[in-house]
Amino acid sequence: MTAPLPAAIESTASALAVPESSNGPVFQAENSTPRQRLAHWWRHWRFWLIVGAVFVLLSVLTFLAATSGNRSLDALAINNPAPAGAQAAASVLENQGVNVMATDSLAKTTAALSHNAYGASTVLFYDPRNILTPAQVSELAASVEENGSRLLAITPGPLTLKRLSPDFSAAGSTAGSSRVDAGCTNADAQAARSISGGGTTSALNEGPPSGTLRLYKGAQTCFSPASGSSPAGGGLLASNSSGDIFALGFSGVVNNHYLDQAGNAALTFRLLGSRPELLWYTASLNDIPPAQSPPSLAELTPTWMFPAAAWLMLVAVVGALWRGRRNGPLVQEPLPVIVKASETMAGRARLYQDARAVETATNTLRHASMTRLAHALRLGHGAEPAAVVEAVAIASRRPSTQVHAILLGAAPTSEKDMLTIAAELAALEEEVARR
Amino acid sequence: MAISGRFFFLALAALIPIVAFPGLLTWVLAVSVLLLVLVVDVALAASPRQVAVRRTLPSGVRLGEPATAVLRLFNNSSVMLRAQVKDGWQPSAGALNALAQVRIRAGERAALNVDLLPTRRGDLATHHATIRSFGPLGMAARQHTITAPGVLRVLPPFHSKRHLPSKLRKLRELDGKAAVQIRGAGTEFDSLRDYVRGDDVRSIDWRATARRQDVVVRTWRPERDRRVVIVLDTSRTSATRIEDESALDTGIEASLLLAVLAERGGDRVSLVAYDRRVRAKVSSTGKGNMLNAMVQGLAPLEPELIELNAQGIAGQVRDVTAHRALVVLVTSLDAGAAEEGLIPLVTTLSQKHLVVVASVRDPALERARLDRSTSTLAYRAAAAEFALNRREAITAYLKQAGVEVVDAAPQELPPKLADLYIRLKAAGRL
Repeated sequence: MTAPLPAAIESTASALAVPESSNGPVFQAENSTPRQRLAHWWRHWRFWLIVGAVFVLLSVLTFLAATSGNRSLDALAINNPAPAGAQAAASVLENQGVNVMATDSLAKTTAALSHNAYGASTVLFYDPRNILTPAQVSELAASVEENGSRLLAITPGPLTLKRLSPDFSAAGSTAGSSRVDAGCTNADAQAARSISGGGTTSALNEGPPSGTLRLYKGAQTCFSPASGSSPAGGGLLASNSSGDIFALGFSGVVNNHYLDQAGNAALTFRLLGSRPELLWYTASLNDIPPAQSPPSLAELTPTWMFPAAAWLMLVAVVGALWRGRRNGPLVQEPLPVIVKASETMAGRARLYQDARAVETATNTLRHASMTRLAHALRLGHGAEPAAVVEAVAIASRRPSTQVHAILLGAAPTSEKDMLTIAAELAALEEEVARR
Repeated sequence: MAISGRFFFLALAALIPIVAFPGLLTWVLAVSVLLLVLVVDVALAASPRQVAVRRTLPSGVRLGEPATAVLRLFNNSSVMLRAQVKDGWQPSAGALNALAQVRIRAGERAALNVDLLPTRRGDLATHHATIRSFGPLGMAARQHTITAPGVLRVLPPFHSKRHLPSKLRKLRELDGKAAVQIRGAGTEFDSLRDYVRGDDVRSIDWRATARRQDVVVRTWRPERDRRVVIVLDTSRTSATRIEDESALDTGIEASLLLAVLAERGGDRVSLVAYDRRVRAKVSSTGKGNMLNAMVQGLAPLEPELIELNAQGIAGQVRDVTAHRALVVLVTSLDAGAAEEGLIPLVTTLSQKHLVVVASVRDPALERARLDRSTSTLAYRAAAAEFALNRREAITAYLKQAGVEVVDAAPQELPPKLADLYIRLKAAGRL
């Protein structure tokens, strides 16, 4: 196919001398080297090859860009720079020498706690979807106590709250206010002086929805909303009697959007930055006990299933290549333009109908009938309409007033009238023709 | 490159070992076996580039009649060619067996008969022959398309030739007619023959009678060697379809019948297909078979989507003959087109020539006129009456200008035009 081609062509040229003697030209593949053929192939497919290459390149680049950033979209995640994330707080703490470590399951958290030195850890516990069972919360609280760590629970639910420490109790919720003063003796709260409680600030509308703010009561209750909207006297921050477990009722204090408002930053950094190790624990699906999850599809299918399915896909591609390969290029059929002759008539009829041109249509019908009747009764081209009416009345044995009404009567006002006249005209012509 | 169904089923069969011994190794093994088969078969296939092609095409075929195109293949390679050959006829050529299987030994040839049943008039083309050469296993093939153009001219069907015998008989009746025929102007002396009872006594040739014992009468025949110029309009109005046939096709049928009749009647016929330029021009003054030349000339005609240049027609007629002639315009009487060009043209032409306008009438108008059962149909009837009325007015105007008009449905136009010709000839108006 490649090297011996020129020689072969020469030999065929001599062989072709014999059939050339009979009439008609001999057609043959043009003599071309593989290089020319390659060039031709490239010219033919250049556009699609370049488009395909650009598409693949862009896909790969997009994929790399999407996965390389290691960003999260979860609320209060330490690698989420969005307003709802908490990358700001985490990175500030890290710069200040606190070792921040994100965990996503209870097992990992307790393991990390026991690994750290006694009293060297702070745990941030955030469970927005209430995944943890009360028993698991108790386990976390016990582990924290055993290790002598601090725990900051962010917006814990009422059931969770009881398990964290018996000192806590839920005190309802509030819609939030722009600024809440500390109003307690806790050193961290006093250092912060006041926190922004979401609520009515204009900035709130732009930020992530803060939802309802939860109020807690504990051994020490801080940041009670001043207006007394909570008669039970709960606050946004509560701590237990030993002062190492806190419950914070507003996640905005920690997140990127509200961190720079009022004393939010001060409270956050004091609560989370007092120990060298910070475990940033966000409850996830990993906390659901594995016994509860159904067996995966891979465990149920037999071993040959995957290779067989993949092979069938390959066979499908082979089948497509088998059936899809054309026998030569497409052949074009030059079609002449042929238009149906009655289309102008149909178009005019639709125009009449759309305009409801009852009068015009009836006039046309009457005129045509009149001409034909005059011709049938041999009255000549220039016959008077009245004379035609008289002749038709005699020929059809109808009263001449009736014939006059049909042929020269008043213009119809509705389609129904037009239809009646049209039918009568046809009947009249038939009667005259039958005569 | 192409693969066959055999290769597909081989790939499907490889599913059995893959299910029986699941694992990557089996998979890779199966793929390599398939690739090996592919490469070996392609390598052993004869090169389709080494095949030469020659065509033998019939010179012309009437529409509706079958034809056979022969495709000759020469295998110039050194191996046997097992191939699928596709002749690239356009669809309206109606190639029944365009795809054929051939086996040609090295250096030998084969002829493929491709049966054609054309469905359209005109020049139908094939541009290439594609050769798909399979290897000895019949699994994979090399494919190449050889450019091998060929053209089959499909001639107009001339269905109206079935009217020819009866019209010719009528024409012969005119010829050499007895003296009972009225002696009108323009009739020519034919011969002398014996008086038969019933002959017109006024046609007795007394000189001849004096020379012989019997009474001798003169006979007359219609004049001969008159010019008939048929102008076929191929402009936009000929693109209308009436009763499953384009107006141009009906015009061709009518022109052919008239031309054959007029040639047998001893007249000289010229045919011009014209819109803004001459599309075809045939004259019976030339040597050879007039009908064949006409059919060959009319075959590739197609309606052109341009307006008719009416002034040009007068020039074309002057070009054909300087004398008085019967000018037959095969065109359309539709309002608009006719008012713009036809009427001025015909009034000038009719000063010198005898002009006949032949036009196809749409029977759909007549049907629509009579159906008035619903309001939509009544509007339709009114529109049809309007169109017929306009047509009637144009016809009346033309007749007033001394022009003969033949306005008939597609099936009736050719015989009616022929009848008109015979009538004009009998009346000696040519």
